[in-house]
Amino acid sequence: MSIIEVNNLQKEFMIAKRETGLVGALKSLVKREFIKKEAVKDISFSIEKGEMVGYIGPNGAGKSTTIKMLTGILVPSAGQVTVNGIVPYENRQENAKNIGVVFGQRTQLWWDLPTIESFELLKAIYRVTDQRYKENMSIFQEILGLDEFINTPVRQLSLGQRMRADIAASLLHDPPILFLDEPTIGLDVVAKEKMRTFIQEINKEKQVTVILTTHDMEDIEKLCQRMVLIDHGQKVYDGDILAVKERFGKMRTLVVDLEDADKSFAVKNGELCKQEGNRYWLRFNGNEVSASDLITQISQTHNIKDLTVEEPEIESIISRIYQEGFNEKQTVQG
Amino acid sequence: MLFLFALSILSWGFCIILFFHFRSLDTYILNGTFDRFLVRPLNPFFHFMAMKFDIASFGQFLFSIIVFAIVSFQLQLEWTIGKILFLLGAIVGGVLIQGGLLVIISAFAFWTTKSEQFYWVAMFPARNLTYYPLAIYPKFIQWITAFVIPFGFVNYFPTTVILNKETPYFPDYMGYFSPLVGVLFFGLAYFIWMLGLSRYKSTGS
Repeated sequence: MSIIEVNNLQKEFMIAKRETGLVGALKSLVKREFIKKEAVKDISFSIEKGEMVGYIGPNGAGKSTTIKMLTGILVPSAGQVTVNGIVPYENRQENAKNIGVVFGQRTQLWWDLPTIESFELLKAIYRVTDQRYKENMSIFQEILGLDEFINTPVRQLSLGQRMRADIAASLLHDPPILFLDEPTIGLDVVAKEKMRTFIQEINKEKQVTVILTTHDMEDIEKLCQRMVLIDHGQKVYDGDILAVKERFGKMRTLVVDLEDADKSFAVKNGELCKQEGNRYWLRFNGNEVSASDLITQISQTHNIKDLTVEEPEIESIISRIYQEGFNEKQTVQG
Repeated sequence: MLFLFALSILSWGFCIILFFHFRSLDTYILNGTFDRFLVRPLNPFFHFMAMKFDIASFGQFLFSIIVFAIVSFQLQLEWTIGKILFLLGAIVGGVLIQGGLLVIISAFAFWTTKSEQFYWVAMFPARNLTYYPLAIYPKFIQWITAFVIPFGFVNYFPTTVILNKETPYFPDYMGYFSPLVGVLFFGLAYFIWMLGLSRYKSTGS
């Protein structure tokens, strides 16, 4: 049996409709109208032990809502969820022992206490044995370098340090499943890299099943073999990440500012998609041609003032998947 | 009078050390930090309660003990074992009743996400009532403080027992029920809080 099973999961929220102005405000006091918002419409997937899955989608797609249902914070409106054989919302406290949760934007550590004290408290809360605590802490200290700030109060930590402490805290009780909600948000490149290495290490050595939501395409590329893509509460794609990457992830955009405008500006292997004054947007496929090739090509005929290469964002990938469909390459895993 | 006041702030002192943290529940819910309590293998009620003990309220606590000592010295009360036990029971009852009200008010945050105002319309007027003998209030208010928001049991009824005073509308032995009322009222508060929690879980944010 899979470690996580989700079947036809749904979640609706009732949102009170407010009318504007004083009259509207009074009206809504007497009679309130509610709008039904379906945050998650119909999602099913299953995840095997030891898998690392990227759960992605644009803002408001229903990612966090799904994670909240998997952790037992929210009760689904319909459908079934089991996490390690437990129904999370019925047996939340039991479920909590099996999962580690990191919300990238909110710490789970005690704000006023030195970092080490938070670990000690969590040790008591999860009833971690001394032996295991020591073992885990030495692993965390080795890979995450917790030593440098272990005695600093959490509120004085930098974001990178705090995230490292947070992820260590969530793994203290050796949970078989780890939920990471935007673990690299706001981190610099070096800190992101450290974070990713650690997640990889943990997944490999302890066979921790990881579910990761993120807006950073690189996170997914570096960490996951599989991704589940959702939009408007529905699953758009579920399967091998390579297929998506090859097809959409390699499309980049080169933005160049030229000294002089050129009406007949054209570049081999690049598709001109936008022009504003002297600025040109060229879309190209990274598999066929490299950015530097394009730049050399352009610089032979034009004077380049400035240039940037834009990476594809998940939002644009999703919209492209919508437009073009995934038909022939779709490999939905069971 | 002073004895009323002393008993009132004595149980209040205990109460805020234990339960004052519930006042900030609405902020936790608003910020989404409340979710953290739901992903831990502990009862969220006690986890939240234990999250923070208000150190600053130790001052109040100390102050109330001193006041109480002075008052009982001035009144030259004879402290028998029975009376001391009774007093402890009354304090436990008072702590549970006042804590219960704090908990109930905090639970409103599960529905409205904002509960700060309710403290001003419910908690503080109720506390002010306890500074004076209930006998000076109209019967209706006395009835409320006995059976609806049982603040009469925090200090007034116990005081009448200790000082052998008469209560105009109620039997004299009301004070003995303080701990029982406290447990019942707190049980009710806990139930309401849990009800709020289950609502939170099915709506969330």
